Amino acid sequence: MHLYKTMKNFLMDFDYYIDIYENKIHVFNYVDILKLTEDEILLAMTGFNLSFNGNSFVVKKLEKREILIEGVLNDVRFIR
Amino acid sequence: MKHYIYIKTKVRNQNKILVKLYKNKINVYDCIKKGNEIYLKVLNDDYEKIKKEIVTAKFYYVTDSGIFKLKKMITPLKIFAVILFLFLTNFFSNIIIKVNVVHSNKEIRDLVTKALDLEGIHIWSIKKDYNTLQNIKNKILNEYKDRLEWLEIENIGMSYVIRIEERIINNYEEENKYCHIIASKSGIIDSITSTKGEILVHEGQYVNEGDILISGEIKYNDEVKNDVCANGNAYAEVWYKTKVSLPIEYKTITRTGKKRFNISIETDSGIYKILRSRLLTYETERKVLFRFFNFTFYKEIEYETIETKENYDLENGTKKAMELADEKIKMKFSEFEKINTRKVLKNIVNDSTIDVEIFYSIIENISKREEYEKLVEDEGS
Repeated sequence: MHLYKTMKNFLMDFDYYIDIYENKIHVFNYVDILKLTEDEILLAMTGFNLSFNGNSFVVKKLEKREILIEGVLNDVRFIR
Repeated sequence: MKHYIYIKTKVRNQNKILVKLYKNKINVYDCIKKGNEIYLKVLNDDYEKIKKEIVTAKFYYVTDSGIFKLKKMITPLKIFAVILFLFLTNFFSNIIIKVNVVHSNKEIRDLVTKALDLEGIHIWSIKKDYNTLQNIKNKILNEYKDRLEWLEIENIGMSYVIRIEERIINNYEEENKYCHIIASKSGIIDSITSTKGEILVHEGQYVNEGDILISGEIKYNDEVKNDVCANGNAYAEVWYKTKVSLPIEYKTITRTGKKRFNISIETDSGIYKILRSRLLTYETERKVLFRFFNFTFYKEIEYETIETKENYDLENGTKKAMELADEKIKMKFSEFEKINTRKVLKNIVNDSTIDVEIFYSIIENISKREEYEKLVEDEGS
């Protein structure tokens, strides 16, 4: 697993990435959770804030640098 | 290796508790909501910290995750039980519960059963490997070489099936016997063959019962030069008259298309149905489901049948009577014997029966061996 992560870091040299699926959002390398409700999620990223608006948001996985959210997404905004 | 566990708690707002965990730097690796409860996958090391830091909710340990869950499930007792089960299965599958010696002669069956018993093949014995079985087979065949021609030991499931061929030692004709081949019935010779002796009749010749067909006296210029035991076959056309009487009314059984399933068990004493049959009249088709020790389980399909009664008319009745008569005659046939011609002599319909008289011309072996005394000429004459 460590080898896989090292290779991934080497190949995908990004500060962060955001994956949006049909009813899931995966954010990697966020800095802080500023707001977490059923309708809105506000994440602090390096240099900007990331806002998700929708409904029925629930956190499925929450780690130091990674978050997986499930729910209906209506709007994504970058706030600088 | 990280040790993950599942814990549960009752919450109204799932996200709130997750934020609290996040603030306390506790990672949540999975989150499942079931009604009012949420199940969280966290590190085992964090569990105590969660209980200590988050006092607004009560957390309960549910189960381990991954390999640790498996470790808890697999106890030494369970491992022992599985090993014991495998060992017992292997042991019992190597036990013989039935030794079936297949032969029509009881004496031979008993002889082979006894010989096998001495070699360690009997009920509740352990299965033998292929080489041992071959050795046993050869040993028995050598020991009873005057009684046994061939022997095969077949292993079917938990039983041995022993097939035997009995050795039949032909009693060769004594050379000092003298015999003719005579006609056992009157008829016209169709074909005649001889391996020993002198043929006295020809094809197409009418012979009476008792006439010599193949003579044991070998003659040359009307003088008996040698006496042998004649051997051969004479086929002749012979005639029969037969009467068949059959009832006018007959039954036919047809399937209605309705079917029911059933299960039956076969034991040594017979076949027993497990469920009561729900059909009044039916025909059964059977398929083997599985065998367990000495029991065989069958899946049965019962097809509902209906019986209808019909009457023969003269034409159909005569036809049926002829079929029956043919079957009856053919049962007695040996090789090369056949029906030559047949003719209905009389057919009458009575109140409840049809009487049919049939004439048969049959090619039949009429040869019969008859011994005779060799004539000894007086030395003085």
